[in-house]
Amino acid sequence: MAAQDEVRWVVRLSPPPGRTVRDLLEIPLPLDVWQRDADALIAAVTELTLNELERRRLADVERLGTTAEYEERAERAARPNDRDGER
Amino acid sequence: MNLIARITSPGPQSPLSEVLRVPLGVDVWEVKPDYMILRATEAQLERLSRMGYQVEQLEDVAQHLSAFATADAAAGYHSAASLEEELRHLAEARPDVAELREIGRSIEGRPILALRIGDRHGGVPKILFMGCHHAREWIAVEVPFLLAKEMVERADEPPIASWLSSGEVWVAPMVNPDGHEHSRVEQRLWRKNRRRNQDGTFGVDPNRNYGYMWGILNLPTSSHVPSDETYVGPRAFSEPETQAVRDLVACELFAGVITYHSYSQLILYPWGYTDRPVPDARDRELMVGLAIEMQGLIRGVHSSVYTPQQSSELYPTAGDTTDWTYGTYGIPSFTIELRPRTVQEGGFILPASQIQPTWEENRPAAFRFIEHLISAPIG
Repeated sequence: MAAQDEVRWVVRLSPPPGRTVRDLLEIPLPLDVWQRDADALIAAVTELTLNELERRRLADVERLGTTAEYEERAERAARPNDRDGER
Repeated sequence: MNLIARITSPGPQSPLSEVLRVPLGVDVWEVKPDYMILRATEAQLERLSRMGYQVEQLEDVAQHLSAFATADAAAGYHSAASLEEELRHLAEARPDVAELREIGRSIEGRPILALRIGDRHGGVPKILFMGCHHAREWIAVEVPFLLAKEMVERADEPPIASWLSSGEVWVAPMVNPDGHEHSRVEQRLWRKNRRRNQDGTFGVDPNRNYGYMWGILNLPTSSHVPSDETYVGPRAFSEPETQAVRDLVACELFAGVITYHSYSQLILYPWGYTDRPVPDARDRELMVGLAIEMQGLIRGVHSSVYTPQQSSELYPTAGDTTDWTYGTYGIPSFTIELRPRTVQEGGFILPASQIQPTWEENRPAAFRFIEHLISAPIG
């Protein structure tokens, strides 16, 4: 059960040699897939899932930060005085 | 309860830097030379206090996010309540062309609203635009809302006037109001609705709960595990949110559907449940052709690239909205994933300053869709 306080990580998952991004989508673990790139997935996962992915070598894992860090960074950038602005 | 607190050091015997090394799992928001702001539970703050730190509770997270949400709403993002208010204003300003309908009620009893726009009842064809099946995708409320607003405010101008004299445009900007409010107040990255599941977890993914090929997959992107983000629910159309859409579509028999999501800048067409293309060549060519047209129209505004592709090329989904609308009714159906393209550009948390340009680039695509369906021979 995903508790509200559970730490979740935003990760880039790349397929190990011989596998594809499509194979990653069939991993029987809870992946909150945010983005699909040609060679990787961006997903939010719990620490438990992360450990399983790494332990079983189901994917090459790059930790981009916790979801809390992502929210904090993104919301800071999204404040009305942000310089991001219009394209 | 999650609290936001300021932590200060009483002296050199308890340096602030040590807080970052304590394995408490607190969420550090700010680190300054003489204080730290963090989010923590009461138990975690109690532990810090017993360690000798000075703990000042500032506010609880819900209040903070609510204040933030208020600031964001002022900058452009709606709450369920402010959306209802604005839709009602539109309907009251132009009762001759706009009518606010409650198409259902959410799990927590919030109205699920749709604005019918057209100057005669029963006009055909009818087109449906929806937004915010997924709670955290705030821009997916704003684009259909701005479509509704423009259609009403410019109802007397060509080409909108001609469309509304022969057909109807329906806009339901927030299909999942409970989830959206939870995202605004409690968990910004919440995705699902607020159904309490049998195992004590919360949420069914409304975009996996529709009745076409419902539940045939069991994958991370279409899951039978209640705690998962893409939980399909206990059965097809188990959720009042999807029931509301189902009943509306069954009643109005729309000629086409666009449902907005974020993010990734994609124009998706059926199928999601299989890699196989839609078997009807004419339907397939129509949807692919429209998707490519919409891509070009979007790019012509601010040079944003939205990629057309079959939905399953993103990832497999069983029970999604457009598989159902196309699979059941045979109507052209698109899921448009809005800005941004990547998580580095903000992902689900898009600056409010990008609402207007996102709408501007999607306007010609939405208008082309309406024009195509209103001009097409019926039947």
